[in-house]
Amino acid sequence: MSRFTFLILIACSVRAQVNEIRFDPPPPAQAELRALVTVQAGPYSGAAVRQSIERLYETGRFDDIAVDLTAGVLTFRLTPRWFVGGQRVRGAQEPPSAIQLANTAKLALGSEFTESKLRQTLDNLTGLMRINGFYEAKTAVRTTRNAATSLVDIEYEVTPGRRARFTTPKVSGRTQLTAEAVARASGWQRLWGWAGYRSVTEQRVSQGVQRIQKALEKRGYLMSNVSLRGLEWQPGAGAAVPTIEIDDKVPVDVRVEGVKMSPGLIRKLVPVFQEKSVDRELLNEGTRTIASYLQAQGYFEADVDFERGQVDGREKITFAVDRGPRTKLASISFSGQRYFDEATLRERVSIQPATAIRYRQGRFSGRLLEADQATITSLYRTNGFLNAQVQATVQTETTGRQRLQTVSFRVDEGAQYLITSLEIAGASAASEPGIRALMQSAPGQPFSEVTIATDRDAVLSALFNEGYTEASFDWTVLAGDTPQAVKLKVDLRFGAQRFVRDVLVTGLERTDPRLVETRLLLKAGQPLSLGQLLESQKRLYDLGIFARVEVGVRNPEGIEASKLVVFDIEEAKKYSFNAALGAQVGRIGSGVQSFDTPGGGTGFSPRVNLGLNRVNFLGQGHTVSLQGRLSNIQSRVQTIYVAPHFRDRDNLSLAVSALYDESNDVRTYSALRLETAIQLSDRISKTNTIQARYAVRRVSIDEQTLKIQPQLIPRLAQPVRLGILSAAFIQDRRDDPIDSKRGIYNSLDTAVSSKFLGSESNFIRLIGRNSTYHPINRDLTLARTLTFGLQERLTGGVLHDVPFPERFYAGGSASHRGFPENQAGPRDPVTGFPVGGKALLMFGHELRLPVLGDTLGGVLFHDMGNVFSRVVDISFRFRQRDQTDFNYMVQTLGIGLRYKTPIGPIRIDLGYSPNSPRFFGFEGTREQLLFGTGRQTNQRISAFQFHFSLGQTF
Amino acid sequence: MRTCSLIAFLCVAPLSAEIVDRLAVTVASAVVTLEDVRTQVRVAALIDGQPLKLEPATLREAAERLVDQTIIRREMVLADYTPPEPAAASSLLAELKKTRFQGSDLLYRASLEAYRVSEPDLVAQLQWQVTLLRFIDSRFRPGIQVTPEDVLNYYQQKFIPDWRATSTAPPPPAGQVRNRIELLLEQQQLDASVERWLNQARTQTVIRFREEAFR
Repeated sequence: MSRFTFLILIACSVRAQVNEIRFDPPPPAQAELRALVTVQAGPYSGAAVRQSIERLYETGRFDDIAVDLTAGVLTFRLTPRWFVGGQRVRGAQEPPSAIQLANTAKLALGSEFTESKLRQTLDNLTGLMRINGFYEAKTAVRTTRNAATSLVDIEYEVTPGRRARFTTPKVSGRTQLTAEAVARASGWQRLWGWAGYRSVTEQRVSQGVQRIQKALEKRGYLMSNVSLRGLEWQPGAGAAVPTIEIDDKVPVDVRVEGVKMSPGLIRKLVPVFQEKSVDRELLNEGTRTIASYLQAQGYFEADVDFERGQVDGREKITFAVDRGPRTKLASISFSGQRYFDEATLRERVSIQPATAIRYRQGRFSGRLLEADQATITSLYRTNGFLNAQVQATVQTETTGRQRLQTVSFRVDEGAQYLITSLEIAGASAASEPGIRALMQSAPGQPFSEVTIATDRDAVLSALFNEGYTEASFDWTVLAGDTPQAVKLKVDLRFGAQRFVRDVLVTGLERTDPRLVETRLLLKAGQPLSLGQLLESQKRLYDLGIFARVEVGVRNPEGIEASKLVVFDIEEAKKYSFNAALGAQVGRIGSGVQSFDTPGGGTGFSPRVNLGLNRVNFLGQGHTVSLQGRLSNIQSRVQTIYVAPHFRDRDNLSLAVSALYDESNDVRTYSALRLETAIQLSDRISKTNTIQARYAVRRVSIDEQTLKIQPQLIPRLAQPVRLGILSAAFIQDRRDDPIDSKRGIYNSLDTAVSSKFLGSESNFIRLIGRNSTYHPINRDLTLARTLTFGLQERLTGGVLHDVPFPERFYAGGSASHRGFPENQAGPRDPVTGFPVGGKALLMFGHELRLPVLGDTLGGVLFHDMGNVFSRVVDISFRFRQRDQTDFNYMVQTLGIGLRYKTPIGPIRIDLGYSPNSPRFFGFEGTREQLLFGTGRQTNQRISAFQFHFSLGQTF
Repeated sequence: MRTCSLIAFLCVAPLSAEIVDRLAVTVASAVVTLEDVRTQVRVAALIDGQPLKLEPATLREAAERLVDQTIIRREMVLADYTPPEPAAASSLLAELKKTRFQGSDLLYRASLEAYRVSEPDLVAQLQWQVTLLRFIDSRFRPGIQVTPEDVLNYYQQKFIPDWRATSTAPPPPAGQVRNRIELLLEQQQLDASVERWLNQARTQTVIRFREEAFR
């Protein structure tokens, strides 16, 4: 061997030796990366280096990786990858809002950040600004890179400039509409063009195009095409000229012969109007919808056909209808069922036999019948009857002048397939019992693909929540020992479990970070749970102080054992203002000074509500609000400080309030109430809430408004200070608090007013309510309620009795519908005005039933009860003994209508009370009352009472 | 003097940073390293009997082929395709030894040494070729259809003019060459559909070349 060759070999051996491994630059979590490198100290291995590059790249954290070897040191030179962090938009002028702009940016939080994506984003922003009329808008961007988190925070600065106005559009294409007609139809003109054009917004642009299309449709051009070719910016005029391309195409006339139908109904039923196209399929669909409509009207044998042709350059479509005789669906029957009883099947069908009011002909159509067949079949198949068949037979017979139809469902159940064994492959012995518990498909249970799909969702959801983000669930079925036996095998693949590396919150400016931290369910080191990620986002939104909460996982596609979770938050505006106008119409009485109508007279009370809210006060998520209400029966200003999630407890909230209230909703007097209160509320479970409250108030009655016998005025008009401590328990198990159909509602409120609490009057108060709701069948609900209340003075004689304004007043739409508002109970023996009582007992019963279709319902109700002088005076007597006796049960029977709306039913109630109270009234002036010279009159609460309100009574 | 210079060189050479491997291309999350590209060039040169050229253009061309391979491999995984047994590569290797190295193991080993190719790398490449051919066959051939009209058109528009350009003899009747034309057209359609699919897959995949690797 020559000396030269020997030296070469030395050189090679020096190159091939790895003594040390380094990363350049040293990345965070270096130990985690080191574990991915398979190169070991010793002889150089190209395969190990390649594998290490591959594994490092798979983490998704590096853009580029190069490896060099110098003097035995193997260095991985890493170019870190950057990810999208928080995004802010400044300078937005609505529309578009800052949130719209941020959404348009479309850079997903935590995804890879690249300059090209950023350029695209800026283009998107500019595009959005332009479509909103900001043609001179300038967008700039500032990025801040955080090496520790590899996140890039992005701040977009938008300078909108002036907003363009629309101008007379240019119209191209084949159309009969002139540019002026297009401008008028578009709605872009202000005051029909007299006041020029409106400013450009994205919404107006799209609405304008739709309006032009609608204008053409009204002229019969159903198939017309209207599109916006562009908006041409004219800087000199500050205007954008829309170019509208219109192709009228052939006008289409659609007529229905053989039955009267309004144009609106035809448009609703024939799909050519919605699809803006005419073809045989759509016209066939039209015949079916017209037939279905007629069948729903009782014309079950309705026959519909269509003809089309061209006349004078117009396409004429004529639906010929032979609606046939009107038929009533008399009955529905079932046969052949063994597994389910008839009631179960009947509950699931949507066709309905005729009823007296709601469905006078019954509810039936061919489509509904087909859907019902499918529903019953599906019910059986879900329960293991894989070969179940359901046949529906319709029979019609004529009885006198009436045609009656019966529908018979014949069920052929077939055999039920049962799971005999369940094998779960891929789960550990520890995890298998938990997975089995999640599955409804189990040995002995019916076999159904629907159930397995539900099981799959449940299992995968549980695994995702444990950080197994790549988990999969496959299933196969093997034949069992008998023909209907099924062996189910589930193959689970867990994949790698992912954990939370850390949780990062960006975007907080005014909010205390600790507040956000307490709302986050994910912590470093825990499994990366998708459910907890979304729940944390929801909990942050629930604070009500954030306009946008975006959640992302940094480097979502990278294969890392643990991931950084990022919450990017945009805080809501600090102040919000609300204003509302309303009015109350009802038996609310006459003037404040008048002695007329002690039983209340029909009145009208306009109302203004104003409110100013400061959210996220002190950055703690607290709210301070100032609410005012002004009407001719009430002036009220209230300041409330609410601290939800008090002491970091989700269900605990603290409220402190101050109130100024001057009202004469009780017609007897006008009272001024000044109150401060503190209330702690704890929702101890989903249905149960407890509340503790301490209130100090000073109540004074305006002597000049007190309409009672004069000798009592000096005593009852005295201002009184009260310190009241109260505790309440509320249990709400109703299915729907707005329109309950089943469930129970209980409440118990106890209060004590004592000198030890700063009160000038010592008494206790207890109010309890129990309401239950019982569905009789799918349509009928029986609802009942009981309200009981008592007050008792603790010390002192009659001079220290329960203060006048603290007594019970009741009656009206929300309590006893035999009375006008607050007109129940004892009355002044001279003036006849209500003086309140110290006991309350009321019962309410309602039968809630459908009246017409699904939106109009009705009630038959019975209210009984009254406000009583004392608890010992409570009586179930029907008759009033004399005109000074108010301690008896006032009974009211009535009917009501309920019109369903998204915010609750609109309610009209008419009650008749055969034993409404009679009492003495007074005719005269205040001076005459003082000198006893007025005239006594006989009064009676009207036996008929009418109430109009929103929401159910209870 | 020469010895001193050499020692000085050998002392310095290992101390200067030498890139031993690096990312060359990424195809979505899959990696092609510079060493993969070099190996591809070496093996291809060995099989084709071409001189070894590790120039940037050659490397870039080889990288493009590896990108295609990566996309196809991914498709195989998605389609749950079972690759052929290694025996298929063994017969190809035997064929290669016979044709390229006249059956001489000595010549074969010397070539491996000269091209700096390891035998496993060569076998892997041959195995890949077999796998690729069979995969393309199973994935794309079912969609290929050559109709009698296609054959006739080819015969009239391509075969006869080509025949007349090279021969004075009358061309054989269509029936005689139908099978050959059918095979040819099938192969053409197969190649075209693979190319179409590859081009489409490339547009839907994030492919990033690291230009530093090809300088």
